[in-house]
Amino acid sequence: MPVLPPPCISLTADEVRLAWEERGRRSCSARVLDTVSTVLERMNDGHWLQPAYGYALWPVAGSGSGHLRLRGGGTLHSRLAVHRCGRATRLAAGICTVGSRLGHQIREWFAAGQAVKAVVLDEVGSLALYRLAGHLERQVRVEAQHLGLQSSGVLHPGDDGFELSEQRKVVELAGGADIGISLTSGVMLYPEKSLTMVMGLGDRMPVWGRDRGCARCRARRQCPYRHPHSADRAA
Amino acid sequence: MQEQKSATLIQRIADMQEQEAISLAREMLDQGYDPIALLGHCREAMEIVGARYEKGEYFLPELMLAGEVLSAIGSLAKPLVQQRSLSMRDAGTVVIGTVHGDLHDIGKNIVTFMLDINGYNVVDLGIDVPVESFIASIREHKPQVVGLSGFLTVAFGSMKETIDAIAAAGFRDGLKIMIGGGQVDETVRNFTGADAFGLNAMEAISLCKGWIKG
Repeated sequence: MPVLPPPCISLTADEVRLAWEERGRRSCSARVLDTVSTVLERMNDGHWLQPAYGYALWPVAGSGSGHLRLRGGGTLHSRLAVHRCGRATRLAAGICTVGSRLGHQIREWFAAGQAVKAVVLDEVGSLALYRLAGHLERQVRVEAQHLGLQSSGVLHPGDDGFELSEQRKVVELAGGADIGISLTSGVMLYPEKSLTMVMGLGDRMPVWGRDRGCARCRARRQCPYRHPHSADRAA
Repeated sequence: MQEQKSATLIQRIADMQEQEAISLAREMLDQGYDPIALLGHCREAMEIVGARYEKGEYFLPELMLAGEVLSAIGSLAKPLVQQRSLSMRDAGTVVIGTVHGDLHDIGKNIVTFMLDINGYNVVDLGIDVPVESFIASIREHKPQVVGLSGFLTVAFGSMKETIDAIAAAGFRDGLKIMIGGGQVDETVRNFTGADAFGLNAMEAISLCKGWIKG
């Protein structure tokens, strides 16, 4: 799979503030904003973000009830992938991470009783990961265009109709080991701030936004990262 | 006069005036104010902060900030409390950990921190905790509450396994078990056999307060 050169992922205090304020629909306190600035400075000085990402395209040989057969890549089991990407001629499996350094620092700060910094860094790490996932998605769309194909919306293991147990298969298809991502026995990605995705490539592929996934997610009411415009938003 | 200072202290903590709150607490202690009463005011302030957080008026870092202020004031009061041979850790004992197969620890750490600053003796077993470690810790520490954390859906099986093993070891009677994590709900609570679930740290504290009445 192509392991891509690490992109520059930077965040400003304003971007972090806006992410919070959009979710909470109110302003952050000055003290928390000070902490955000301090944490970003420490993160940048210490190079705590270690972004890495890659993806691979697999020809789709056919589909059956709840699975896609990939030429040279075995079978991906997912009703959702068949439903949304059944007409795809290729399947893109992507993976990305912001590395393990950030997680170590979060734990270190918690252990030292510096909980505010720890939760701020966790938030920053999640935002950085979503930004990196955006880079990955765009990269796949560019390649699809070069191939004269259209690309679908994004699916993730854990989505309704795409069992989390398929995470192992997606990591393998995307070449997670090449960028140092592994799985626990409970199919959790390590480093923790990592994610995988699948996209279909072909003619007239359906496109959808993240809000659609959020609206169907069973954790939508309590998830702090739900799309702000997803239909079923917690009060 | 002291009453006014107490009210001001509560207000300052609740309003995130970190330095001002710590200075006032120091001043009150220097003037001989009862450290246990002072810590009581801090917990009163935390209840205000917790209520604001639950209403969405405060973000998580703000909840944590209030916790840090409480922790700082606790460090000032602790030596004075110890001089009087009183225990600050009188709220109860909670054994907590992320169940085996799951490495997520941010939620568990937040709950641990908040329980700690609310006066609970917290035994944090870490992440990916085997069933046997929970049982050994229950045997050793005799907690009133066990908290099981798990973010992934696959953690639910581990939670059930842990709770079943606790029962098989004869520790279930008189022990309350709460679960928490990204996707827990009543269905998951029922599946695992836990007594309750919490969606955030404040709910975990409310559960413990309800179960362990002083």
